Amino acid sequence: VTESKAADARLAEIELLYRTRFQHFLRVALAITGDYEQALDAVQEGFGDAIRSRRRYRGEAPLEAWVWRSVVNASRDSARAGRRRDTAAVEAAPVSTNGHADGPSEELRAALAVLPERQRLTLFLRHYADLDYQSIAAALGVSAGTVSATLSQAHARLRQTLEEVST
Amino acid sequence: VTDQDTRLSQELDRLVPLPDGSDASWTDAVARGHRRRRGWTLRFTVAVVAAVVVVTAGLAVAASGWLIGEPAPPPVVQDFRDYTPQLGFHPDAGKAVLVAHDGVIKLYATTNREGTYCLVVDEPWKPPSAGDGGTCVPKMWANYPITASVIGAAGDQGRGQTEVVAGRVDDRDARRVRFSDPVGNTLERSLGTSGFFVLAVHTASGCPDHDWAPTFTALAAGGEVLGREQIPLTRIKGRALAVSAAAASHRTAPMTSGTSRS
Repeated sequence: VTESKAADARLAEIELLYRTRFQHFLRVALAITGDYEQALDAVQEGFGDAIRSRRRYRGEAPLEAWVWRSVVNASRDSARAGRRRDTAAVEAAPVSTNGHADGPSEELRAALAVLPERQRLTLFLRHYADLDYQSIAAALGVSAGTVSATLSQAHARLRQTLEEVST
Repeated sequence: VTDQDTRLSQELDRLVPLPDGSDASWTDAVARGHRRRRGWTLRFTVAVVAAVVVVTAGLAVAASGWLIGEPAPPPVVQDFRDYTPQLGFHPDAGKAVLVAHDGVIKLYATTNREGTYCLVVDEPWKPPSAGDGGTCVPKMWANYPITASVIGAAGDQGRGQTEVVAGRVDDRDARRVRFSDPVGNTLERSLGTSGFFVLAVHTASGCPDHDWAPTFTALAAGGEVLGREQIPLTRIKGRALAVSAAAASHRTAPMTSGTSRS
């Protein structure tokens, strides 16, 4: 009975997470897949996985990080399942023009596309989901120290790209 | 934070702007969470259950894909045959089986060419000659973990109104379903075969004078909550309708009903 109550409570927590953070999940999935429909499907599948396996959640990581892992995995699977290469995902990501379609974003997109996958995912979770290092670490199954180092490398690479574009 | 960091942040925002949340659907996520459970394990379980019932009880159990139960009697089969195909469904009338009952009220189901299922309710007050053509469930509804609808109703000689609520819980662990009647009383019933249920809901005051959209809760054998779904069953245009206790007073929700045979 206790376990069923816990599963029930987790379902409510997952629902709250879905309702309050849906846009961020979709944004990260969009960054990974590069396609809106694929991203939407990945978010739904990721939450479906989390709902289905919630009884196996043992609290070893924050629930949000656990759900993020599920959505990120679904997004990666979706990107792989699609014919596009993973590195092409960012190339296809929508760009808000706002009157300045030309500019560093093109180069930045190219730079993102060639980043190692871990750097890219870490960057997406930090920037697009606004997760802290601990949550990113739990979501990706690495240590917080690794997140810090990985993020630093990704930022350095992208900053370099921006500098090159500016000069 | 340097200017370059700020610029990088802005560029990343430009690259993948925050999408709007208009496509969010918690119901769809829940449905996916339940749907993947179905697969070979469910089919295997259904096959084993069907085989065990046949072998041990010696009953004449009919199996139509995932639908199991006693074969429906000829009048019910005829009801399914009378479903108007123009409504977009073609029930497999000959495969109809009994899937649930509540006292003398019986619920029959069969598959259809469209890949969902159709229902016929056998109520004691329904004249033998009055076929109802059945009620077929669109794919969108059939995919939800819990579906329900009012599929029959009758006035009770001035003593109120009886609504027949039928539906299905698509979860192999589910054993019971719970919801509330129009005045808030809790109702709970065991599921029949293939997750179907049927209940006669009696309301002493006749039709409810407000919309009736209870939350259906699917329960496991130990009472564990497996899922919830709020489903609109009746919508009332105005209080005037509540005075009439006729079955047609309600605009019932979500399934597609066939026409009576002539």
